[in-house]
Amino acid sequence: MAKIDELSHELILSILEYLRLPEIALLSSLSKDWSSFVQAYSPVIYRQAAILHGWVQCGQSLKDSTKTLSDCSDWLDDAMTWRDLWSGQRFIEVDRCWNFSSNRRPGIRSVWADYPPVLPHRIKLDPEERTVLSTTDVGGIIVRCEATSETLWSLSPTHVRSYAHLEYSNGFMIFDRPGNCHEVWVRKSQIPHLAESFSFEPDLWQQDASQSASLEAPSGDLRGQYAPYAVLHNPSHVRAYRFVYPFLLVASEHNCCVFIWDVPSRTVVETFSLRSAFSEEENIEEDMNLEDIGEDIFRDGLRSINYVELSSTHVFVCFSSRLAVFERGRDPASTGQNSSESSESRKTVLELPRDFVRLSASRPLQAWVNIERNADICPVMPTDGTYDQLLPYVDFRAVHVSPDGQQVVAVTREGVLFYIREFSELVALLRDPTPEKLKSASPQLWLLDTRISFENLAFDGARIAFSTVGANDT
Amino acid sequence: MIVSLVSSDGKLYQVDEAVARRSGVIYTVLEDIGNQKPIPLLNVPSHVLKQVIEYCEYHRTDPLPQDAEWSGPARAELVRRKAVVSDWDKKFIDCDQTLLFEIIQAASYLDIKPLLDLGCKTVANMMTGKSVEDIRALFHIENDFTPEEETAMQVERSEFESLYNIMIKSMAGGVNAPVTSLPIPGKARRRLRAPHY
Repeated sequence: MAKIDELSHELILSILEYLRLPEIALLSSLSKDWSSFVQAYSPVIYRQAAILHGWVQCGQSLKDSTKTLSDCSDWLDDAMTWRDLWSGQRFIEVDRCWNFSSNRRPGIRSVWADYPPVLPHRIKLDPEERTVLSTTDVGGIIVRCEATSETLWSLSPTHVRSYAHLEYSNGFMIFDRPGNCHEVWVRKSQIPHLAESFSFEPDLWQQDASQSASLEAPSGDLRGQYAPYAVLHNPSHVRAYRFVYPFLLVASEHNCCVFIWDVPSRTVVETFSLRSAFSEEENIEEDMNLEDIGEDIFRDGLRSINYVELSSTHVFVCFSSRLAVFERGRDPASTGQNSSESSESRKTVLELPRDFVRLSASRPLQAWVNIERNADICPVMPTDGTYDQLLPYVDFRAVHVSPDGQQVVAVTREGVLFYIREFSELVALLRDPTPEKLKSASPQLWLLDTRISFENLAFDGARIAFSTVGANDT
Repeated sequence: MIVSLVSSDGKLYQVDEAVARRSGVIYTVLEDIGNQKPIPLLNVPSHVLKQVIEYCEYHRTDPLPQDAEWSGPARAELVRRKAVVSDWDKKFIDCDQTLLFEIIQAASYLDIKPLLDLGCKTVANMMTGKSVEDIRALFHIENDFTPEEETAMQVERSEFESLYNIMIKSMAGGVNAPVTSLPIPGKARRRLRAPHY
């Protein structure tokens, strides 16, 4: 009689080669024999897992891997073993093994109550097919009917990591994949209407996922189903991204730059550095912080990026310390060639630094913004002495812009809402702030102190919606 | 050409050379000493050999794996492709656990890499998504930890979980950034900023 314990160690390792981290984490809890087995072979096991999860290449040494990975994650510098590398990675990966603690997130699950008990992470709405797309806390993507909540199609948790971010626009959905990649999938019902210039080049992994996803879908109806389009390999570590068809804006904290993909053609059309949003001293200070491993676990450094947004003319970047707006390139074709260098620096057209926001006692409030570093730029609004309340710390979390690119809403962690009504006018005013103009200008920047901690922000040009930790407000 | 194989319990099987050559070991034997004599397979009992031959018969026309394919980047790609198992293979490998492990052992002994992979994949898939208790039951593993040790392990896991949740909560809120860029605590000097809500 053969039992798993009776297989040779080599064979057991061959089996574990196909095992994902959540299960590997359990092995040493099985029995004492297993515990010592895992201990003895942990370098091999975790190395295999690293390959399985696509974090490292076969044949790459640990030193090489930590070097490539530490380019994007500073905490890996001191990983001495493959397991160390994973103890970091385990925070990130689908850790289904945590699920068996019973009191996990009481109450929230029930809102999305059905089987399997997963918590949606990012939710996107497809208004044309009336479906809801979501990534989940255990990984995978679920597409449901908006009305009945019936699952129409799904990608397995082995394919999409837990807490993946999801972007959806115009029939295309994009989510991130470990290894600084983005996967692009396109709505099946849309495929016949695509121009010929759209060429599908999914990689093997996507094809497999697509195959197994389609097998489970109810046959006949293409509604809610997606086909793999391509994989985008980002030139730099990905921190935040935003997709507004056809452009995917990707921000990298590591060398503080953004690049913009033209998704249908799979090319980077624009790359530029964000460093101009900071003074030289700030840049130097921040570069040093990056080298000093993990001084703060939440990375609230000046240059940590919380959110990015793009309109047809501008790129909006929410740093923890400020909101910075950059102009997009006029001639996208010319910058596409040397995208890897990412050295082009671009000046900001608008900045809202966190330290200089004052609020008056009544609300909604008009704001006075003192842009100290650019002392020649005058306040946007003349002050009348009522601005007495200083917000000690403003941490920008999200920004959205209306489809026409004029109305901008930004929100901070503390629940302060910024609203710009005519973005182009404000920019013009800041570019040439003569006293006459300032006097005659109508208020352009509004503040609303909601004092609620928000989770998500949505904005369609007419309405602002934000969800809070506990309840939903509109 | 016909090759004769003898199982560990002495049964004789006659198979096409193309089928026998699926096995790296038999391939070498045939190259070295030819097919004049029956080849004894001392570690493979007849009920397993029968299965292995069935597998090799079905896959007789597949290209033989080249060594380079089975290590290096191509290998990594294969491992990633764990989701793809053909219907025939699925049906073939759907057998009781004992036989499954015996097939894995035989595939390893005979050096039939695709079959070994299929077996290992199947076992790994059986474990996917299972809890500790499930896996113990699945493989008849006896829990020899004391209750204290078990509790300690559970506490460790739940501590890890709560920290994980705090970080996910603080980071993921309203951020269109993937959480992959989360830094990891682990050094005492790292401080935890008080949540603002």
